[in-house]
Amino acid sequence: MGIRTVHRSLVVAYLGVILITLIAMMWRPTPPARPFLVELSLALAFVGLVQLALQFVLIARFERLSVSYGVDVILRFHRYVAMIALLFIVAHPIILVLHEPAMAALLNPLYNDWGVRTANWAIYALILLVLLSVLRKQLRLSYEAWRISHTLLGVATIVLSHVHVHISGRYTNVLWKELLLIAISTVAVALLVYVRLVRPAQLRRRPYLVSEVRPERGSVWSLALRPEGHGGMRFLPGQFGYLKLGSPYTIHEHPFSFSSSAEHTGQIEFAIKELGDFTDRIGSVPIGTVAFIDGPHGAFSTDLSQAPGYVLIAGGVGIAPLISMLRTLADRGDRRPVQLIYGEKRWEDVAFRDEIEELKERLSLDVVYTLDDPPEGWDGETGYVDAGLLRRHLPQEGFERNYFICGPNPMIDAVEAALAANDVPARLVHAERFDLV
Amino acid sequence: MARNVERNLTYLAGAVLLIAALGFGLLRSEGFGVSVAREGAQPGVAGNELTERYTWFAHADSIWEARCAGCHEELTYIPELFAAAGGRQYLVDVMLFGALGETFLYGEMQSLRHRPFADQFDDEDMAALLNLMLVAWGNEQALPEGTQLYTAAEVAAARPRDIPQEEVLDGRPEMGQ
Repeated sequence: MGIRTVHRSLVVAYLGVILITLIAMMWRPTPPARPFLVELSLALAFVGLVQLALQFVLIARFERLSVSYGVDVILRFHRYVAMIALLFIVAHPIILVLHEPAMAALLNPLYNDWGVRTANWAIYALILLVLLSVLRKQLRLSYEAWRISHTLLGVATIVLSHVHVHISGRYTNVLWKELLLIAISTVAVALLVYVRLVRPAQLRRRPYLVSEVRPERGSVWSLALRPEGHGGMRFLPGQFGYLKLGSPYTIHEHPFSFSSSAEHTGQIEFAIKELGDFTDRIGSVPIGTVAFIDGPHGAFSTDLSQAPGYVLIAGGVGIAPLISMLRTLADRGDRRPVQLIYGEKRWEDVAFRDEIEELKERLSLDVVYTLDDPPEGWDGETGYVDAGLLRRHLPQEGFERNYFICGPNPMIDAVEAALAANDVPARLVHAERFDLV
Repeated sequence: MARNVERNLTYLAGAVLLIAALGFGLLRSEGFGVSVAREGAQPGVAGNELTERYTWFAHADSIWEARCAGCHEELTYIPELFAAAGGRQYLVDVMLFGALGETFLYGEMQSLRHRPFADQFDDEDMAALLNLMLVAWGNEQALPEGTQLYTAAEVAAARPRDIPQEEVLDGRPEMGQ
């Protein structure tokens, strides 16, 4: 099945589940008709509720979803679509109050009716969930604390919504309709259990041991893992895995790109820059530490976008998946032309630069460095990757290369705009963003 | 992959779902009242035929469990209320229009609040629920001789009364409590 067909199928499946639910609610026996605004508010609430359930499917790390769209795209869709669900669900009481202002009394979370009370609590839980996600950095909430609160508030919203529907719902007037709604949410929450409990149990049978912790330039560490008692993992160059140290059940799991060659399954490496609480401790991880990898994930790979040549554009530690692509191409003896445009603050921070020079011998590789703070006598590019830099360096040839960008979000936005300014079609551009929460 | 694919997907999903909700609201609204599937035999109260009792009782019982049992325990005072003057109508009014206020109950003034269910249940369901309250929990033995069960037509006839929730308690019969 082609990738575009998969895209269409998944979108149709997403919308289909929600639309089928609406059709089921219209199935006889139906309650007496009410004014348009009231029925509209109910429809929005049903749509929002099923959307919330499907949010759990989106984060279940299904390989088909991951490889088709890329985890970053799926997670951003998860985040954007949560806003739509929130709007639809909040619109439910607002429209009812607009239709009948006396119903404003029902917005009291302590109202003496469990049907109304649970509806209020569900909405407040959902609003809190969204606020904590949007404002996590401003609130200085740790990733782990956010994740626990996100899970609990998500489940609470779903459960409270079902209690509200059970007590107050007029469309769930027959058992099968109520069971249909409950089944959708049960599957959704079961997926959460799968991700948090079943999948880690599977990972426990495939442990790795930390075999090397190697310092690179620019506060980057190469963390090497060797499979313990199994054959390792096949991944595609550019993909990533969730790294867990110590236990597969730990909540301290973080996504990192594989930096090693995809041809070497006997030793897997991640390139990790010291950027936060967890990454600051990477350099001191003891050799022999047990580790687990949930992966591979992602659609950001040269193997998934075959082309006659590639342009790889890295900002800082965004080099990690791109060095994996270069190493893999070299190990395969692949001589397709590759250009690497690599932006870093200072020359001494350019991670893997010695190896990149060596790779030039094994690849048809052209490298352009650009520095924010160049050393004295530097005659290369300076500043950010912009339209002018691309105009000066992008290869002019009669075939279409594919472009892979990885780096901080502002850098990716700027490079995408610069590529567009250089008439590079969007269909050839691939980007990997990890600033997801 | 095209840029901003997730944003485009979100807009697409949001637009489709909003249109679907608008369509649902319109089709289900007064004046249209569209339902899917052909109208089949509905469980309900057909006249006062106790031979059909099993059907309506089971249906009412499922509604009671889902919608009423959360707030109500066994309502064993219903036969007394029903038998009092005006009690038959009062029960219908409470179910349709709710009740809000204070009344003299069990020797003291008590606050009473009941949600209106006029737009929650159709006439058949409403009659079935009223009849359930008449006969369940041993109430049937306490009903007056020759009691006629509620009918859907009786509920339908009561709907136009449209009594404000605060005035329903005015119709509560005196029961010597």
